[in-house]
Amino acid sequence: MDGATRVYLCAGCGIGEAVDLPALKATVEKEFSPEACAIHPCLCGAEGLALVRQELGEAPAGNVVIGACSGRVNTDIFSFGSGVTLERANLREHVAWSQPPKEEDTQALAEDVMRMSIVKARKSALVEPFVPPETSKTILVIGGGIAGLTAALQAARLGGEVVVVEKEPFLGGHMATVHKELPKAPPFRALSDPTIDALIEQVSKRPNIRVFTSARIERISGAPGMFDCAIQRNDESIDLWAGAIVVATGWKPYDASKLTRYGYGLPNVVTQQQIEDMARGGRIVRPSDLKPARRVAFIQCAGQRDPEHLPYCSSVCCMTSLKQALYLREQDPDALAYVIYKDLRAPGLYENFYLAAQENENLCLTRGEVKSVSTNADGSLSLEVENALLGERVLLQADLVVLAVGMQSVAPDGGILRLQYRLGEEQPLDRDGFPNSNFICFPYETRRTGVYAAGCVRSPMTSLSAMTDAAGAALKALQCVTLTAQGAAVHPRANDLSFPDFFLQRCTQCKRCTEECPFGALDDDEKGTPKPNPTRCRRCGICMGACPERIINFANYSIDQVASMIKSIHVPDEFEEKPRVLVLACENDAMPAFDIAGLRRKRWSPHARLIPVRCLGSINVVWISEAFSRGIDGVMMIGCKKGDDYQCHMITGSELLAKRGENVQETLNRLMLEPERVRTETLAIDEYDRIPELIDGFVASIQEMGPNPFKGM
Amino acid sequence: MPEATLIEPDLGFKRLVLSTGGECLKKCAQCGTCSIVCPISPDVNPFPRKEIVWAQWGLRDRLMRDPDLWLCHQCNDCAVNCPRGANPGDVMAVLRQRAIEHYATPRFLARWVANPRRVWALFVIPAVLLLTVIWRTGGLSAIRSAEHVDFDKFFPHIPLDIFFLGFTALAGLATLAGLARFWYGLSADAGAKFQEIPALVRVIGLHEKFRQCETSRLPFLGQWCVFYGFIGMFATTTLAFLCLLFGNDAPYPLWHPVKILGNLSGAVFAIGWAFLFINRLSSRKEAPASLYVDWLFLCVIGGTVGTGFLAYGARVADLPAAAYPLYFIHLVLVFFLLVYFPYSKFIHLLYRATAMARK
Repeated sequence: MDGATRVYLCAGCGIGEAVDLPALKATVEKEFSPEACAIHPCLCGAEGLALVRQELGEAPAGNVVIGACSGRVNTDIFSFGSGVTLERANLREHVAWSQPPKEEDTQALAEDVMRMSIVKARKSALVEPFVPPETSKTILVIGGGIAGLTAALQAARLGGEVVVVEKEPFLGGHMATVHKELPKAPPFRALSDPTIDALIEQVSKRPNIRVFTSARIERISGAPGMFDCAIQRNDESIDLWAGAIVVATGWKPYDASKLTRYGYGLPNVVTQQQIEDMARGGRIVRPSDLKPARRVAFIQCAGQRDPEHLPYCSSVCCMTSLKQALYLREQDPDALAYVIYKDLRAPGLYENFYLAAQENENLCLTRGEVKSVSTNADGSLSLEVENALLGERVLLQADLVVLAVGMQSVAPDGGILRLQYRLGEEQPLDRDGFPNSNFICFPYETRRTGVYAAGCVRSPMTSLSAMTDAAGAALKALQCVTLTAQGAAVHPRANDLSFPDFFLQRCTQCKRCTEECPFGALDDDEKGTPKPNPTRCRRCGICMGACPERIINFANYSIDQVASMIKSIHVPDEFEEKPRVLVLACENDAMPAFDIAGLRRKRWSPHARLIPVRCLGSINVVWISEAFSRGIDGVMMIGCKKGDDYQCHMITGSELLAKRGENVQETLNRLMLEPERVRTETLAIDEYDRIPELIDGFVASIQEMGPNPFKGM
Repeated sequence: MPEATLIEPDLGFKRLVLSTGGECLKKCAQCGTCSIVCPISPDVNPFPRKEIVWAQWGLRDRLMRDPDLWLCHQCNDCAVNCPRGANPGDVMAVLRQRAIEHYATPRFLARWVANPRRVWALFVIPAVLLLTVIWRTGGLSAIRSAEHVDFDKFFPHIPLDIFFLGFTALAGLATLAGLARFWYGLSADAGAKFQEIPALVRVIGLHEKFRQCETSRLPFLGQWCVFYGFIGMFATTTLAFLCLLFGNDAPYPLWHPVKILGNLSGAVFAIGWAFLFINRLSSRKEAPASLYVDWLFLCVIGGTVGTGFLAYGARVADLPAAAYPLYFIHLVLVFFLLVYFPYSKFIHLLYRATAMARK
């Protein structure tokens, strides 16, 4: 920002031994003429902080650049109020701990780190959050099954106002249709009686939960903190002003009629859901003649882990079959349950249930592939099983065949959210039809900010997991309404107060920003001019990277700012010993990995200059051409994994960068430079040990290629 | 592609296996670790996983026809490595006992041998028979007039040999009948490789398979000593019988080759027997679980040799009050061993050899 710039250099933690600080101070003073520039032996100590505070005075303002440790540590200590633009120049992890002490190249690196940081501070404006005039803190829960009701109850317990919308005339969902539930408490050995009625009662007793049954969402417009919802119940339409949404619409069994190869369609071939119905009714029988079933064959993975049907494992069906085998024994101590599995799966502590279920001597397990199911003259069924542990090809006789057909999310059916968003009514889905999310770091967060998925709608799971899931999603929803009311971002940049500013006078209506925003934050008018919704925004900057007119910028993260930082890098004319490589590193995984690498005293080339970016998707091609026109010899971009198993925190950022690679190559062609001068690498936070190899390898290949011909021009 | 075989689980058989020592069947998750770690299991259709799975399904007929049941030495390498804490080797032992009862002719005798409540009958029968013969041959009065302990007076060798040869012949017939049923019962894909009999003799003679068990050496050493000790003593008895035929009746002096062979074999046997006994008492994971029939057999075989040597000692010491009862008990036990051979664990000697020949 404009105004005074104060620079403080810390000599502690080995910085003083590695860097010639008086020389560095002299360079800073000569090039930037700051209002203050001081060296202190321990800046984070009481004395050091007092020095900074004293100089800042009563009303701290202006730029403060702390040349010390990583900005990821000591954040509570180096905090001087909202009037100050604080920049943390990392002289510790990225210089003192990763470079040989007192060498010319180390000193040059330290100088550039200070230059980039001072420029960054000066090019930042004070962030003024977008605080909506009025927000709702009501949580809308869609779905009244075990996940939805648990989410409602958890949010209500924490004081939230909750509205539950259930499409059926009654609450309970699938869990209201089971005879018994899988074990729900340690030691996870015994079946549990259904718990749903108690949950429904608890929900009905809460004054701050309103329930609408036989109801659906008619439409939702607006944004987090101010969702304008219309709920349709019978013929009436109810308006609701909500802050965040939990989607707990659950699952449906895979369509068994596609499983004729397992005999579905024959009179005595049923699904696990039908067995639950029979067990609740009191008797497991052959549908053809209503005689009690004495030999029941369970076919696991029926249409699961199968590329032609569901490619994934639903994770509960093995245990459901073990459970239903117990029903069978309860009915008839001499009945036999055959379970033909691909792999019998009982994750986690459900191993205990597996062991307990094996106490049932009527249970006969075998691995095998069911090749055919046919009806015998007496109405019983013959199953031909191949590659069984019982033998290469065996024939089994059963009264009843039960198919474990697996669970499918209802999300692809649509009609759940009916969002009035430019990018569509429903949440984007992954390849398996579940709401897309970074499943490692942010399982509940969908690609629609303020909309949190819980339970089987987002992944197949047991009722117990669905309850844990629902509690997590309820907390996320509460966090969302709280942060939104403060004008702050939700994950992954939680508490970030910045948001993109659109200089619309120069907008050419190319629609790249609206279409590329992974979170559907932007709507547009008829002409295609973007209409930002700041509370939907996750502040990733992907729109900034997309904009060819460069009119999208943040107060503290802008195209000009990063370009100026690149310009501030001192590029020596002599290439041989001093090539320069620019590294644009993702703040989410790559930058912390550099910090860890420094902490572990890994060494990498002193010729690399690091600039953090919010996401690879926020990289604007102009930065790359800026770097090359300044004589920098190579540009490396390091971010998260893209593709189906992406780890990009902004979902599509890494993917978009790859798509924009064409523009980068175009830039290189225009400058007549080798395409190998730009490289993109993937780095996860735990792969910090790859950093030396990545950086040194790239620097070596650039050295082989020779200098950037623009050097010195 | 072979024809599909019909599988008909027999819950009763499964319950029988579970209740007679195979309880850990329930723990098996069919992972196959047992078959992988077993040092003597073949690469194709390895045991014991398939046997455990069959038992879990109550596939009685398949198990009875399975030669692999008899290739297992219950060294329990599998139990040590089982991730679920099951003891496949012990289940195999239970299944072998089921097979012994299955092939025994007549079957009820094998059931008596396996039933602790019938044990009295098994001993009363030979005791009454022997007493009757001894009484009829005048042994009871003869020993009263004898100056020294003289077993030949108590039970003259000729009637003794006739008595035992007679009953042993009966047992031999029963053994042959059982063995024939076993031979034809073994699954059709098991061949008969007579040309490999010399190799088989070597395998059995050197206990080559058992030797490969890694977890514990104790059962192998015990088995080896008992095997050769027993053969030695069997040879001693046979030689003594031959000597008798050629008029050189016992007792022999200490330097007599037959005597030396007998004493040496007895010592080897005693060492092996102690190993086996200790192994069965052990509570280590690799120690085999012991069924009633295992203890019974171990006790009878040990008791036979033990009473034999004690009776011999009492005779040398000339203590009639100890010598005659011990000798009588010894004869009862010998009867048990020889006549109940096809119904007790002893028959494993022949079934195992047959199964090896058929593999």
